[in-house]
Formats: sequence, structure tokens, C-alpha cells
Amino acid sequence: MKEKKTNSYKKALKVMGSAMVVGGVLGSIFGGIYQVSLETGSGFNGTGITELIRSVLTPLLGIIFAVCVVLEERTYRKLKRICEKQQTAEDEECDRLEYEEEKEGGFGMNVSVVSQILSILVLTFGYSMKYITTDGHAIPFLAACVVFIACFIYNYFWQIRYVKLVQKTHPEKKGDPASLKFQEQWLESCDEAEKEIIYRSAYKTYMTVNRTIPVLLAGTMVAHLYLDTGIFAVVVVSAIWMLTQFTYTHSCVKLRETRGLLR
Amino acid sequence: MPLFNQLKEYRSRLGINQTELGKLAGVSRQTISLIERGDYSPSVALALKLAKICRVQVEDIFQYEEEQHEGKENEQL
Repeated sequence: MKEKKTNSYKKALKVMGSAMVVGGVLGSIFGGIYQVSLETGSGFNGTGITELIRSVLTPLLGIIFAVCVVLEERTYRKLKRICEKQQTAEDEECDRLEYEEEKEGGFGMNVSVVSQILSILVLTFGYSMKYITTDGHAIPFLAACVVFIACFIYNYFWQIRYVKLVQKTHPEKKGDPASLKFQEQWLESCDEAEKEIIYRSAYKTYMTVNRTIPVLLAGTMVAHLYLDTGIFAVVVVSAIWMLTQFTYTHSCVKLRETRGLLR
Repeated sequence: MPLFNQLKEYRSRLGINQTELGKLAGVSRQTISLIERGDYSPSVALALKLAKICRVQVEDIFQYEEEQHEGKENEQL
């Protein structure tokens, strides 16, 4: 038992040592690039990228919106066909169709979320009072906002259509997709095997977040060091990390309470 | 957990499909399919419910078979 403990400490020291070496290598690479950019006067502050994206703000958002509509409509049509086939399919065929349904639904949801995140990212480049109030940028920015809002509304309604389609195929699934309590209502209508799948996926997500957040935090700190991006990004990532950790531990403690697992 | 089952055989004897058995047991068709394939071990409540629907004892449908190394460990104890 004692040997096992020593091995764990050794392993932890190795991991920390490796992380320091990787950090040192990355730091020297970034430092070198920064130094060279300062000496050559090419700049390393992201101004070029910001200007470039600002000049194509509305078309870029339009492309994101168009791609998202094409992909999501194609996915919805596929889903509809799969759901229709399920009504008359035999058990074995149903297994395959339900897997297809899960896969296509997951793809559609990912496209929906990615398009929303990309839209936010792109709009943020022009989201500055200094930029909007100078040189007649207000109108192009407003046009970009219209495309941005249209993309969000479309995605919101696509998700509602998707949920309604699933509910039509599986009437036991409950929940109003427009409600804020939709996730709870949906989970409530799932049976034990479906809940296990959801819980396993949720735990995997928690582990992924816990592994990714330190990397993101380091990334935001490096960005602040070289690009002077401000500490807000670091604060936000730290807050997400704390929130994830506190929510998990709070939930574990709560479930340990008497009858907690029955709720 | 090495839990084996004959749910598919008993369901066939009843002459119903997975959807119908799921409805009777209050679970989805997917859950019945997962149990039949051995990909999911049901809760005690669901196992009892399924046994009741098939009008047999729960042990007739579900069998727990110890894995070889587990068996050896128990023998040593």
C-alpha cells in the first residue's frame, strides 16, 4: 500500500515536471516570436486580424448563418425520414434507426451551438463603442447585428422543431422546449437506462471540462502577457472552473444526504 | 457485472415486440433492447416488473454468473 502511495507521488511529480517543461518550451517560442515581431515592427497585437474581420463583419456572419441553415435543414430532413421509418420498423431495424437519430440529432445540435458561438466571436470584433461611433461604422455594425439576431432566432426555432420531432416519435418524452425548465422536464420523462446514459455523458463532460479549463486558463494568461487582452478573460475562465467544481461537489454532498438519491 | 438474461426468449413466448414490452414495463423500447443485448443491467424494481409481466420468477430471466477470477477469490476465502 505504501509503495503505491510513493508511486502516486512520483507520478504527480513527473506530471508537474512535464507541465513545467512544456510551459517553458511554449513560453520561449511565444517570447521569441514576440521579440522578433517587436524588432521587425510587424506587430503582434492582433490589430491586423481585428481590422480584417471588422471589414467583413456582415458578410462573414451571413456566411455562418447560411452554412448553418443549409446543414441544419439537411439534418432535419434526414431526422424526419429516420423518425418516419421508426414507426413501422422491426426491433433490430429500430435499434439502427435510433442510433442514426441520435447521431444526426447530435450533429444538428453541434452545428447549432457552433454557429451561435462563431457568430458571437465574429460580432465581438466589432463590439466596441470606439469602433461603432467612428467613421460611419454604426450602420454596417447594425446590419451585422440583424444577421446575428436572425441566426440566433433560427437556431432557437430549429432546436424547438427538433425536440418536437423527437417527442412526436417518442411520445413518452415530455417537456416544453420553450420553457426554462425543459432539461429537468425531459430528464424526468427518461427511464433508468436513458438516465444512466445522460449521467455517464454528464460525468464525461465534467472530466473534459476539468482537463480543458487549466489549458484555457494558461492560454488566456499567455494572451494577456503578449497581446494585452486584459484580465477579464482570465477571470471568466477561472469563474467557470470554480462554478464547475463547486456545482459538482455540492451535488455529490447533496446526493449523500438521506433520500438524496431518490430525488 | 456478469448478468445474463433470457428476456428475449420470454418476450417471444408472450408474442409481443420490444415496444409493447416497454409500454407494459413503463420503459422505452431502447431500454428493453439494451437489456436483451446485455448492454444494461436493470434495477431490481425493473427486473421484478419484467418477471411479473412474463409471469416467471426473476431468477428465470436474469442469472448472475460469477467471473472465473472472482470464483477463485471466493474459493480462497
